[in-house]
Amino acid sequence: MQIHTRRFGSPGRELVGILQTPNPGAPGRVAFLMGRPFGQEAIRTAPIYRAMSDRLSREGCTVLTFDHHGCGDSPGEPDDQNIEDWAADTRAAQAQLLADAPRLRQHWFAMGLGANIAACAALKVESAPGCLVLWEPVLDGPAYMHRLKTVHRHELAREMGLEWHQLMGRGREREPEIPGSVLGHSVGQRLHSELQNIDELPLAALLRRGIKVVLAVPKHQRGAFERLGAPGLVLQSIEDETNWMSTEAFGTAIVPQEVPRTLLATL
Amino acid sequence: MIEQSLIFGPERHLVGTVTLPEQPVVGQVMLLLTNAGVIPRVGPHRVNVKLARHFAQQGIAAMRFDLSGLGDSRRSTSRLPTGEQFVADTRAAMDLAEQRYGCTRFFMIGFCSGADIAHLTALEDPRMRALVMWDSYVYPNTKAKLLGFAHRIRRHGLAPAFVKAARYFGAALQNRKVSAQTAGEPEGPVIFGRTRMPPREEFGHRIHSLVERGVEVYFIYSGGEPDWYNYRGQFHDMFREFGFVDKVAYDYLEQSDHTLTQPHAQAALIEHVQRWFRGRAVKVLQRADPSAADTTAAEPALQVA
Repeated sequence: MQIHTRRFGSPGRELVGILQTPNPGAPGRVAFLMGRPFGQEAIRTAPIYRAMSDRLSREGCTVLTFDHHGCGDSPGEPDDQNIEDWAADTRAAQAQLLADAPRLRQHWFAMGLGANIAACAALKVESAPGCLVLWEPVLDGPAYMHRLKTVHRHELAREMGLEWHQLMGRGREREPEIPGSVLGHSVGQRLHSELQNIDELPLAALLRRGIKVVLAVPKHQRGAFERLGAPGLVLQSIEDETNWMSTEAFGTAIVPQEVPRTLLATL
Repeated sequence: MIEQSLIFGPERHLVGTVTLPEQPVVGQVMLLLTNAGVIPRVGPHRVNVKLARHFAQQGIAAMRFDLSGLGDSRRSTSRLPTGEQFVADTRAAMDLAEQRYGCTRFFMIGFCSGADIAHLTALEDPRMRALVMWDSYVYPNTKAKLLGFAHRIRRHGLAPAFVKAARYFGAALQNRKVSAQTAGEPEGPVIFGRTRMPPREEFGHRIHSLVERGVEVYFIYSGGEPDWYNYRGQFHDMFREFGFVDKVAYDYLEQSDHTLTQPHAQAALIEHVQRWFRGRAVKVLQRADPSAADTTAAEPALQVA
C-alpha cells in the first residue's frame, strides 16, 4: 500500500486529498471516494477514515479521502462555504479519482453532513457512483443545528469545569448563534440557509439514477426508511450511537465495527 | 503564500503540509505543528492551519504533519515505543525541511501531547531552538488543590464536592497500593487528558537542561483544568526550585479552554505566541549558535510585522 498527496480542484478552489493505492500488481477492485463530515465531526472521525482507507486498500481498492474547501487541510476559510459548493468539490474529487483509477468503478462513502453533500453531488455528476454509503446523514437540518448548539454548551461547560448557566452568569460565555461560530467552526449565512431546509434525503432521485444506496441510520430512524420499501436501498442500523461532535468520542481511535463490515459488503 | 502537501519519512508513511511565505523573512527558520492527541495535523479546531498561515504571512515557513498512525500518516513498521517513534517522526520532518527548503532552525508549537513530543525532540535535536508548550504537564501544589476544591464547591455545592473529594482520595490511595505492589508509577488524576506524566523532578530537569542549552520555552496553560491548574503564578510555584522559571516565558489563559473552541481563545493564543516570538524566540532562532550570547554571530535582525 502506498499513500500519495493530491491537490486538485480549480485555482480559486483548491482541495487536498490523500490517495491510497493497493500494492503494485494487486488486482484493482473498486475506487472509493471518502468525504468527511463537517466541523468537529470531521476531526473526531479522522481515525475511521484512515482505518477504512487502509482496510479497503488491503482489499485491492484505491481510496481518495479529501477535505472540502475551507475545511481540514484544504485551502480556504470556512465562513463562506455551503453544501452546493462542497458538492462541487465532491465532483472535482471524483474527477481526480477517475484520473488516478480510470478503469475502476467508483463507490462513495461519507458521514454526517458529508453524506448529504455526497448525495447532492451524486445527483449531478456525469458518471454516477455505483454505490453510495451514507453514514448518519443529517435528516433534519434545524435539529442538526440545535444539536450543534447543545453540544457546544456541553463541551464548553465540561472543558471549563463549570455549568453552562454558571459560565453565562459570569459573563464568560455567550449563547452560540448560527450563523456564527459553533463548536469551534464557523457556519456562514449560506450554509445556515441550506441547513434550515434539510428535511429529507433525495433517495428517490438517487435510486432513479441507478445508484445503490446504503443508508446507515440509528435504529430508531430505520422504520421511516423501511416503509419506503425501495429496491436498491440497503438499510443498516447503527447499534451503538457515538456523538462524533463531542470530545468524549475521542482520545481513543474509535472505529465502529459496523463501518468496515458495511463497506466491505459493497465490494 | 503557497501550500504543498508532502509524503515523507524513511518509510514514506508520514503526511505533512508546508506553508511557504511569498517572501521569506528568515529562510532557515520553520515552525512545526503536529497532532494533539488523536486530532489530525490541522490541530484542535483547525488552529494549526491558522497558525501556519499566520506565520507564513509574517514571512516564516510552517509545516504541520501527522505523526505515525495519526491523521493521514500510516503506522510505522518500526518497533520503537510510541514516544520515541513520534520524536523520530518529528526529526524526519526536520530532515525533510532541511533537505527541501534549507531550514536548519525550528520552533514548535505543541498542543497537549504535541508539547510532550516537542520538548522530547528538543532534548535530542539541537535544530529545535524554541518551543511553545500548550497545556503541558501539571503537578498540582497545595494551593492549587485548595483552589480546585473551592472551585468544586462553587460548581457542585459543599456536600457533593466533599463526596467527590473523598472518592478522589480513595482512588488515589488505591492507586498507590496497586503501584506499590506492581512497582509501577501511581496513576494521578486525569489532567488535560493525561493519567500519567513524568515525575516532576524529571520533567523539571529536562526543561532545565533545555534552557541551559539556550532553547527558548514558552508554557501556556488554559483554563481547561480549574480543579488542578487555577492561578496565575502556579507555573512559578510548581517549578521554582529548578532554576529555570525566570528564564522561560509562561502564561495562564484562564478564559481559554483546552481545545481552543472559541474564536476568542484562538485569537488570544495567536496574539500571545506572536508576542513571544517577536520578543524572545526570534533571538534564539537568529543565532548561529543557540547557546551563545545575544551578540555573537547574529544574522541581520528579523523584521516581523
